Amino acid sequence: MGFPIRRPRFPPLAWRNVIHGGRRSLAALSGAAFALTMVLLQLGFLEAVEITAVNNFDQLDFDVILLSSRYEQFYAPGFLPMERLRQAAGLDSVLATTPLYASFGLWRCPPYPLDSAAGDGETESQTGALGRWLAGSRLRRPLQRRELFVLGFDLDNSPFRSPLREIIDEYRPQLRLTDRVLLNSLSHPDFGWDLRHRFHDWELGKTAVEVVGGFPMMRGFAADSTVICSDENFVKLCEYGSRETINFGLLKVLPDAVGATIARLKSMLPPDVLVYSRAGILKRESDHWVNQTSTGKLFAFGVLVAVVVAAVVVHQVLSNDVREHLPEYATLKAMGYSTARLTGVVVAQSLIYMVLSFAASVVIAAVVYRITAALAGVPMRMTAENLARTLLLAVVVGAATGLLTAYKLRYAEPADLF
Amino acid sequence: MAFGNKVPLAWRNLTESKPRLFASVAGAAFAVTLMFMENGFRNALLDSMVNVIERLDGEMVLVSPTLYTLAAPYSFPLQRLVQAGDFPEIESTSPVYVVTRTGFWRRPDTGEQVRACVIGYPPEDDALDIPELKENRDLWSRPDTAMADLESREDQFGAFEPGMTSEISGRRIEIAGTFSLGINVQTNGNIVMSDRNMMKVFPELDGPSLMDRKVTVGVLQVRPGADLDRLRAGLRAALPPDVRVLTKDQFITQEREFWDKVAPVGTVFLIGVVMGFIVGAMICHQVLHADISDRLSEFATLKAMGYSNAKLLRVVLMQAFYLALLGYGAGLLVSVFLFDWVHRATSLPMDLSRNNPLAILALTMVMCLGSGALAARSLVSVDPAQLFA
Repeated sequence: MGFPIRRPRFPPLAWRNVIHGGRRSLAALSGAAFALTMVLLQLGFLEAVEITAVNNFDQLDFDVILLSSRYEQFYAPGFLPMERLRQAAGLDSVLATTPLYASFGLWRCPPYPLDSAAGDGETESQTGALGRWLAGSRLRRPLQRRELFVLGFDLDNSPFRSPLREIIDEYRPQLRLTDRVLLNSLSHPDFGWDLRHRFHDWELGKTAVEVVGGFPMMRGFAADSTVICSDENFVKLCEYGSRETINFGLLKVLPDAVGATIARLKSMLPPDVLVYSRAGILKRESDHWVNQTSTGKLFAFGVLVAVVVAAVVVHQVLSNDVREHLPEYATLKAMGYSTARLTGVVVAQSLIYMVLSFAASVVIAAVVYRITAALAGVPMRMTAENLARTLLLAVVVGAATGLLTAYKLRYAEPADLF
Repeated sequence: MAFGNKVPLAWRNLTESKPRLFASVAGAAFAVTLMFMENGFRNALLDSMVNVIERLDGEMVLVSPTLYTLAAPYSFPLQRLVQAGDFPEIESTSPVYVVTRTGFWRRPDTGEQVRACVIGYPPEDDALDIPELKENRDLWSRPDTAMADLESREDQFGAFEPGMTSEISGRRIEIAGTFSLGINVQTNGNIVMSDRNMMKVFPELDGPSLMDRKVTVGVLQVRPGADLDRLRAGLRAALPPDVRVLTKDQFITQEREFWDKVAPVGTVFLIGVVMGFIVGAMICHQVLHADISDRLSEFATLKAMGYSNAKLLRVVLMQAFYLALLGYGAGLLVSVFLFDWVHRATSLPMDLSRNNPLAILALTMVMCLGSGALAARSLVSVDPAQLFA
């Protein structure tokens, strides 16, 4: 049989159905749009976990990395001896090596207002997320100590990539002095970046330090703030004893020798180190955060729940709409439209709904993403993959619902109309 | 009043067509499930963070003033706990040592080292209210033994079996037995050992003298009948400022508040809850709106028969009420299974009863009645004459 070859009318019937629906179409659209927004939002949460997982390594310049055999994730890296880095440097294919020191340290967070008495935390604020965001750094809080992540590195052999590299170049002379640090300018407001010009009694661990400047580094689910300093200062501030115990060994390797170098290092070094390529550690890190932590698992379940709910809602919305138009379809059938042609109209109409809902959901999600990023301080990024996944879901459910309801149309007897 | 006979009309509207009823209830049930799940995720996160604190067997605790979450355990000297024990209102005290960053379990089958939360206290103190730990006190009092949490993530820790030996942070340890505690967002496995074993594995907790040992939480058991507020004030006045005195409830609140309000995870899940409610409300509106527009001609007939707008509205609201009840029931049933599934998949505490089922019922009502009222707007403008247009 097939479709009769006839010049399609413009605009097509399916489109006019949607437009004619008016308010009713709008209700259907908004229902589906919010359901899809939920999917985009949950995908965004999961994406945020991945972004924060690899962000730290993105700031570092290396081809191959040496890690402790106790390495769990960036914020729990374990220790390895500097000797391993020297051993690695002996290989011909290794161009350069540099250590990175990393540890949690206790930061003295300024109170707000600055002149408020040093409470013992009894006056802790009961403000919720929205209130905290509105108040920002002006949230009333007592003097408190909170942990942040401290990174120490060799000033003359900086492991960072641009833009951190340039910032460190700028501050290098000051960072050489004892107890000078750079504070993350994207820190949680409690850490006092905004108060840096008026507050000077910073302490890291048991030592008074001076904040000489700032650098931008995304904060994640594990640390609310970061401080960077020279290796010499790090060893002192974090009580490492000496520079001989490191947390990361970063290697620059000849471009075409990465695989061979990793194989050599693995056979050469004792089992107290792990050796990863750049791609390898990025993969391990995002696997850890997404699949091995409860946070990642909960977000994954969130995506699953949202997808199921969205599929049900979209199906509901579309089948409602078709049912409302049943008499019209029966009329069309009486007029001689074939079932195939009607199916085409119904499926086309479903798809138009889905594409419009998807477009609306992208707009709504863009707003909710911004709200989340502002309130929670996690990076919310709408990636092409997630957009494609959501669109695919919308189209598949749309088409399936269209076909399913069209199947029911086969039994729409024109006589039923009356 | 003829209220009684409106009930059947609304009910019959809802149940007239079985497939339709099924679709409507399914819609509302999914909205309810969505709210339960988002709420459940958030509570699972917060409940899991206080899993250890909730099991501390005492009414009051001493902690370091620095300690803002147990995930970053700061300590105070044992001396303070001994001083607190001199108070007549205090029946007994127990030091609890917690290590979250430097405790590594060496998996015997793969040799991999996995970070665990290690908790230590004198076994005879029963500081943690966990039956398996109390019953097997003699087993794990022996040197170089430990108890392992069965709810630790098996894919990382492997299976724990009594009698197996491996290493904790480089020291040979025999697993004396197992218990059930549960993991959280910060730790994927728990180990409990005696204070003596703890000092051997983590000598950094030991001090120059016994009184300098670095205690993370000092658990105070208060004599029945003592006034907690007065005791707390007395302890605060008597002890130096290097410890904080909290009731157990305050300690739980402090920990939950940190993860709920300061750490980003809590906020993210809160946004999930809010979005879940919005989507749920949209679904209910959709269901009721579709139903009303389908029956517009019947409603117009009723109006022609002399039903006032208020009466029609009442019919719609009753229908929304029934939908809310049915949807809630079905959603609750689905959620029971889903909660169990997520609990088994994540080992996180997914406890339906802690998710304010009544609050969610109230929200469902608000959602359905609100969207019913909104959908009923079209009834006000319905003109009986339209029937024959």
